[in-house]
Amino acid sequence: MAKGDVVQKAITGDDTAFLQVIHLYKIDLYKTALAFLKDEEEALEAVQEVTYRAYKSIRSLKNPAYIKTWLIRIMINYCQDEQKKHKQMVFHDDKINQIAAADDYSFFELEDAMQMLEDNERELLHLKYFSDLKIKDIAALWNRPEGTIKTWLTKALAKLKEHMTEEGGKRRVSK
Amino acid sequence: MYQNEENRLQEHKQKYDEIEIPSDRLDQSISKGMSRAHMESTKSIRKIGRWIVPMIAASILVFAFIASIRVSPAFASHVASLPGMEKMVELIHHDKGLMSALENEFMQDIGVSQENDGMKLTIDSAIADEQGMVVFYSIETEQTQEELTIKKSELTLADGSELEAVTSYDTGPFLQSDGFTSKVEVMFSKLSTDTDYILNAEIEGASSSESFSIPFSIEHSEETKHVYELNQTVDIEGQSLIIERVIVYPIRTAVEIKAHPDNTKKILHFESMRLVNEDGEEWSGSSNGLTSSGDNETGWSIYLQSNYFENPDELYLEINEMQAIDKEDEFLVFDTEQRAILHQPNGNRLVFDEISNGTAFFSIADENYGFVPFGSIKDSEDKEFGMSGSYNSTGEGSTRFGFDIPKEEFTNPLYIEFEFYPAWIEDEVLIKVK
Repeated sequence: MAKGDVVQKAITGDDTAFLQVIHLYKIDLYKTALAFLKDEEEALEAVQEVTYRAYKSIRSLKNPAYIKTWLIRIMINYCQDEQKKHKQMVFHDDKINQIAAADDYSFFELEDAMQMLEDNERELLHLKYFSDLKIKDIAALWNRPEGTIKTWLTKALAKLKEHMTEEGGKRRVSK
Repeated sequence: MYQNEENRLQEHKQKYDEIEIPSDRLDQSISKGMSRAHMESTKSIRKIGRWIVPMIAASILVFAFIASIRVSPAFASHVASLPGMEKMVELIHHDKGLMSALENEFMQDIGVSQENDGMKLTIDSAIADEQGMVVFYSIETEQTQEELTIKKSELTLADGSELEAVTSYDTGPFLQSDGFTSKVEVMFSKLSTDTDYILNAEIEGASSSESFSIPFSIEHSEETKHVYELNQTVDIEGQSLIIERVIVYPIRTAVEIKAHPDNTKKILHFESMRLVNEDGEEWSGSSNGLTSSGDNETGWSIYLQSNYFENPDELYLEINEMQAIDKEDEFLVFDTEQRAILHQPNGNRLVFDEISNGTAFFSIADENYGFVPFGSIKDSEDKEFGMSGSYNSTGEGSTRFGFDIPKEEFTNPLYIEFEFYPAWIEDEVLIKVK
């Protein structure tokens, strides 16, 4: 069965098709969760929650073509709420060491700079560079012209650059 | 322009691509999410008596025939073209009884609304008979909300007293939404001709949560059911069932059946039952929500889609197979310390896998078995723990199930009641209803 057909079936309430869809994107969902939450347990919890939320609202997905963007967005929304609950981003050192070698300075620099961005900027960068979604798809899902998304993206990158220079500068001094 | 930043982001992504994925646990998370969604869509399920809800997570076989009775797209689009109907059709198109109620103008316009702080709830319409009710309502918000969630949408009687009924509703969330249409389905435990109700809803938006409490009234029409008394006994692999009657209400059909007390087996689930007319058109169970109530002692009502409005000239009840186990095998006996199954039905189909995070997992070599077998739990001193969370997931060639081991103190072994079990009795029973 073509992917679009499975998604369509999932939208009309077919449980088997829904599970197929989730399994198709589970790795993307898990990695997104990990990128935001930095913790394996919390990321697994997030996948459970997103499966639940997606199942409850898949009927509201109008165009099957945007399923991946849609799922990742639910995940990002969830993760950002979780982060707000914890007030501050807590780095789980042992977990993050699995992702990057402890002395991988540039990794932490980028992580820090990402945290300085607004929610929607971080989300946009994530959708574009982590989930490899096309600007066209993000535009459709956010219901904005492609030009607007491009402008936002440029702005987000500009801010990222600014923070990296700034943060990097501080770090270098303290080292 | 920001080539450097883009490159850095891409390198960053590669780091994440290299990490190890905990595949089994990831699949488990998905199953748990699914189970939760299923549990919740049939929320107040344990309120009255014993209701059987198949928690079908991944069964192709079980759903195969249900898919085939879905309403034809042409019919659906005809009804959808009636003014204001599209949204309701979206909600009920899987149920041809409800679709036909819509088409036959059995739906009542209600049109009462309440506005709270930028959010408006309108009760649009209802389909009601003495056995149940489907109430459609819409939410509109002034501003687009990141996320709208239905925290609650339940009915009470006009004096505020609780309904004796099973209520189910969707919870959302609706993302990037400035409104939606949803429904509350109610199935009365006793027939009811009450006309005055209150819809109590709580809708959560991104920044605030609004509560609504809206009185509304429905009308009951004069004649609202066709009753066919049958009282026929059928024998299926040595087990006697008394088919008492078929009652066709506008919203759904109830088939009332009793088990003969001398039966040696306990019937767990009626798997394929349908009404068929003279042309072979079928009405089977609704593909979601409640499918039956009752048990081996009290007898069951099995709910099928309604053909009240079609009112066929001839009608037959077809029963083929049901899940059943020997009465002395009604429990899985499991010792959590020995980590071993002490007793299970013949054939030893359940294999113990592991205990992980307080959940005991088992598997059977059948990837198409879409039911969660486990129900309420008691220990060897008859201390009851109620129904625990239970899960299933499908792998290659097998299905895995789990139940949560009680957190309170207990004395081994545990007795876990089978709500479902992969053993069937079957026959081809055809009874003339009219």
